[in-house]
Amino acid sequence: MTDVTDMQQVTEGTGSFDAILPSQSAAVYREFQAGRVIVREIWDANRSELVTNPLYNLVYNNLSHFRTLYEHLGSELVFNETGSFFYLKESSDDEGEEHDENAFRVQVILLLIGRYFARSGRDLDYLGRPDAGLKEDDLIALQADEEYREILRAARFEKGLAEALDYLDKRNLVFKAGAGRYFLSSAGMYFLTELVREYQNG
Amino acid sequence: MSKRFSTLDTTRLLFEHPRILFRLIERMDRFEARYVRETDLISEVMDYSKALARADRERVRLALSTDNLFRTGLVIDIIKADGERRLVFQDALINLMRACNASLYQELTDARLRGHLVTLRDVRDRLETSSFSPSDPDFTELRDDLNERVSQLIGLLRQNVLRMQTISARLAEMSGDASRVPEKYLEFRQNLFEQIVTLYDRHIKPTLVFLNPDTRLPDGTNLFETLEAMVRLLEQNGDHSLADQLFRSSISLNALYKPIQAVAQEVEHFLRKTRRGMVQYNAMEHFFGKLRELKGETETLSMRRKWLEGSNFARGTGFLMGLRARSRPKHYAFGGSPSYYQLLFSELDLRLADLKRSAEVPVLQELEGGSRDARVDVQRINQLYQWLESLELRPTHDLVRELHGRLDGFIEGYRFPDLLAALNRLVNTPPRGLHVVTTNRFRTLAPAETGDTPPEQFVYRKRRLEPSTETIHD
Repeated sequence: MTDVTDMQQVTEGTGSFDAILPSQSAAVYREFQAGRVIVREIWDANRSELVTNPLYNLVYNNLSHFRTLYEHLGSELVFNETGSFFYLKESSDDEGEEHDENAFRVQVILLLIGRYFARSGRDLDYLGRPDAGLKEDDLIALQADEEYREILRAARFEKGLAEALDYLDKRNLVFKAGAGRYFLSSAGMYFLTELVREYQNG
Repeated sequence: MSKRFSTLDTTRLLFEHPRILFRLIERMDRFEARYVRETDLISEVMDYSKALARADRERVRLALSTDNLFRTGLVIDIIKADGERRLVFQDALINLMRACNASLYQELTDARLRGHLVTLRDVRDRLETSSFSPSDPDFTELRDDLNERVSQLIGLLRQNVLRMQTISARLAEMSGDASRVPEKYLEFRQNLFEQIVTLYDRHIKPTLVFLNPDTRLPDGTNLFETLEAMVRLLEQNGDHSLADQLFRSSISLNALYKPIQAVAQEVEHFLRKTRRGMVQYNAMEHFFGKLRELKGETETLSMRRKWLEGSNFARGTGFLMGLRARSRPKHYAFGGSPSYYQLLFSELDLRLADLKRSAEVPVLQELEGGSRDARVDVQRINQLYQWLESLELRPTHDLVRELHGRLDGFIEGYRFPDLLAALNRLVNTPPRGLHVVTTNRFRTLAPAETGDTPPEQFVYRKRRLEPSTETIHD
């Protein structure tokens, strides 16, 4: 590539860069680097309510810019409209065992939670509501189940449920709504509804 | 056929190919028979062994021939009736097989439970008129009988609880059609209800009633009252060990109540479900079943399979594929604070002091692998010690690294092991006003590779060099 075309691309590209504050873009980058999912609403522990996530809006409003940006960085920005979340996918050229590891571990915990909840006779929708979700008794019951414990251990959560929930919490898939209380984010809920949909169609 | 197998080898083969007996037990249970028809056995073996390699096929066919099974004692009786031959397998073998497959556990019916209760009451009545003398054979026999009955009952109930806990899979199976086809939901629903109610009424409820300590029975005492009466009798007559044992058994039985109650609750919830709830329930059950399969794969004898192999599962749903956290590049510890500069300058001062004395720097003798002389060693170490005597050191968190940095590349002939000697010296005779604190944290140090030597690493315990006055606060 010659210098001339390089220059042209740079001048073209700066247009979309100008529209975004570097500090905000860096905040988005930090979220993705930490392996987090950017969801539309996040839990505000101080106000005890769901608040809109400014980073989600930023990415949403400048979708094509961020798509290009992360494409240049060798990743794929995935947007899930139904579940209202973004996440960064490693480019598929290094598709190996490790590639699926995180996704699988997330799926295992969510499925265990979903199954436990459905078995307790409640509608899965309640899992995604801050005023419902998993209560302390639920956590105790989940922890007491030997089969769940073994599955978690085999999914490399040696310390059990607490570690698993922490893993989801760090990734914005569940939110901690108080001592011993958790509920699923829109991204976490998306997985469970997707399973139900798949079962129904399958 | 002249070749025969020993009992051990036959049993081993049976467990290597468990499906044959699993099927036969299923059939036995379905017809509520205590025997297996010979024709069933033969057709099952033929059917199963068709898919095997030739050597295996012959082995299985020979081992499971009626003749071999009877001679090895695994079949204890052959009955000829209604023009067919019926094989009675050893109870122990059948029970072991059941233990390997939860779906083969026999469900406890009301009648069977009652049977157990009646025998226990009978034992109690006999105990009331017993002599309680260890030399009385009637009494010792009664003791043995009691032990056996109680452990049998616990075993049966425990198996039953395990079986009941697989109920969610069964409920999902029963309601699969009902939940998937919305138009036919109502039609299926009626049928489903009947099946579930049967399951509940015939198996779960009787067990629950049986294990409830508050149950009143019209014909006599309930299980726990019977056990308690026996415990009292034994205690009054001084047989404390058996009384204790029986008491513990009654606690175990009592503990079984809770899991069954949970199952009953789940069934009740299930009956109240709407179609939507049912789909959710079944979907979770469906995917959980897949997860369970993966877990089953980790429970083989291979020690290396410890973790779930989830690639296919994860790809199947596709959720969050390729999600990964990356560690951010670490920045260098440059700072602008006064303490940072102070540290930097004090370090420079020390290095300058070293350089000023560069004329006095000793040259340590090169050591070639084989030709070592104790005298040379002593001389080297002494030179090194003299240098250390005059070396100016400041308090540091990591004395080893600091020392290495000061010696490496500065003193000619310095080798890695010299660092050990130097450390040893400093720990025993620290510089004036300072002392060395050995911590339990480990660090590694790798010397710069020179190319001709293989890379080596030194793992050391971190040592701090601190001003002596601080020891009081430690």
